[in-house]
Amino acid sequence: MNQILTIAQNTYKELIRDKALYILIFFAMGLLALSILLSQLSIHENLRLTIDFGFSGIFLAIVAMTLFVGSTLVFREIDKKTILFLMSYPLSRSQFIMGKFIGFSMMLCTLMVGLGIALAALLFAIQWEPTVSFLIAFYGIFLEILLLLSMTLLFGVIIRPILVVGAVVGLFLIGHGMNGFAEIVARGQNEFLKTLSQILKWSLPNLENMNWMNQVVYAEIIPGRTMLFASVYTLGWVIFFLSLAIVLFRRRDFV
Amino acid sequence: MANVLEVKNLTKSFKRNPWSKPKEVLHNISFSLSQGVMTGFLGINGSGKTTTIKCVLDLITPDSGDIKFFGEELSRNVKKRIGFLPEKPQLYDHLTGGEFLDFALKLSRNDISTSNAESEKKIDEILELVDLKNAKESRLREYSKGMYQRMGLAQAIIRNPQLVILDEPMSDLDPAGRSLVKDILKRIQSEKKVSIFISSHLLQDIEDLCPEIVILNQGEMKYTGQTLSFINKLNPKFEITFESQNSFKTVSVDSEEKLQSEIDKLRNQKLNIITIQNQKSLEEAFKSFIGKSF
Repeated sequence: MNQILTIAQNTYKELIRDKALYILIFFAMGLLALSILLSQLSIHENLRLTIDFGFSGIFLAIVAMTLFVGSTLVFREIDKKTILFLMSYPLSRSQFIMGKFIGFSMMLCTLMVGLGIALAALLFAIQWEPTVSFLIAFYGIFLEILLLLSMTLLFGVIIRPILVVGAVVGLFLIGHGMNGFAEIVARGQNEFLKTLSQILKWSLPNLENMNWMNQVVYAEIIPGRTMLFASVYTLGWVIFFLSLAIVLFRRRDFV
Repeated sequence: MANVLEVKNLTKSFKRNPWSKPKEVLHNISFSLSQGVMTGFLGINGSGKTTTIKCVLDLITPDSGDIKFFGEELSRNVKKRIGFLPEKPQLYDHLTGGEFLDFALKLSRNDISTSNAESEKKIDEILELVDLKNAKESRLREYSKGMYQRMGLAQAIIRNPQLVILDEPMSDLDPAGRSLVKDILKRIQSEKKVSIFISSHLLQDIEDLCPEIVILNQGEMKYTGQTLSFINKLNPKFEITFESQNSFKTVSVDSEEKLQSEIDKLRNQKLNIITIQNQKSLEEAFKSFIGKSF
């Protein structure tokens, strides 16, 4: 465990000291500022629009960070050859992958807390009353980010960063679109599409399971059972993706 | 003396792509390293030195062969007793020297019970040894090439290893930097009695440091044994300096047998032998040896 935490701590430190992070924070703050401007377009829906755009802005910034930084997380160690001296330590390859995952998750959590506080301050300024759903929606974003990160790490072990981004963006779009696709297909008679919809549902993660942004916008209550299901569902996929990443990383030669 | 590393019949081949024919880069490599001895690992570019080191450290999976450290297979416990400096090391540039060694120290320990004061003491000790004490608070990206190389060496020795494997530790260094690294290696070898395995193209440095050598050529084992014996095997030439009637005189001989009889003769005459030098360098011997084996 000590080794995992040491790698996690170093990953966290490396990312926090990376200039790219501050560009993304700037981008996220820009999106938050944009949410205020856009919310002015509607007189009656001012608060809802601010919440909607604010959440979306934070979500997009965190997803971008996960994709662009996460895709290089393992690649950078191999490309820069830091992996050579690292692997000569009493550190297993699974500990390395776990350390990277935890370190990056810690960094994303820090970023989310920071941006969440900024959004809450913004909403307070326009007479918003805080709700539990607000926190739960953030928890949902965090679950989804953990899932995306485990996917990114898996692909990052076997393919180049640019391909990783492509693959994860593809799975992200499928993951958010599969419910809508299933609804459309259910209305029609095409058996092939119905089968395809079922295959997608059972073989790939459904990212709508942890998307509770609408509930915050419309001040709806998110049931505890929904949260529990989403947590177990995410954990299952994260374990699956990380286990696969570890198996593939163990077989890798560092030429 | 017990062997700290024993490699038997190590073979490795690479494929350019999954459909191409494998190309063998190491063929039945066998050698062993004695405890407390500095051993040079020689070979021209592409001879398989780095691949051998990577196979030994499980960075590359060999096709076949048996590798034992201290009589055991490589495991996390065995790794605690080994230090490694890769060729042209890349370290974590975002950390300061002190932070980096703290990271290395934490990584090499399974327990987190060691106090901060103890770690700090150990870090300061190592920084002093590699002459980087003044650079403890500087980020590694601000280090010069020589400082960077010495920091690489520091991370390899911070866990008090019994075997240190160094891949080209002195390449890219200026003469002063090389000399400093050589002094550090001599110190850790004599003070801590560690075994050191150095791969290098700088044969003069190997000759200065290593009483034993291993030579590879085109992925095949060519020689393993004493450096002096290797040099002597190829046209030996010795020069004996002795004191006679308050002045220094020299005498040259061209074989080990003649050297011994000359030493005996001088001793019989009660003359004080000052030095016995091998006039042929490792570099010359290596060149003629590799030339012959092509």
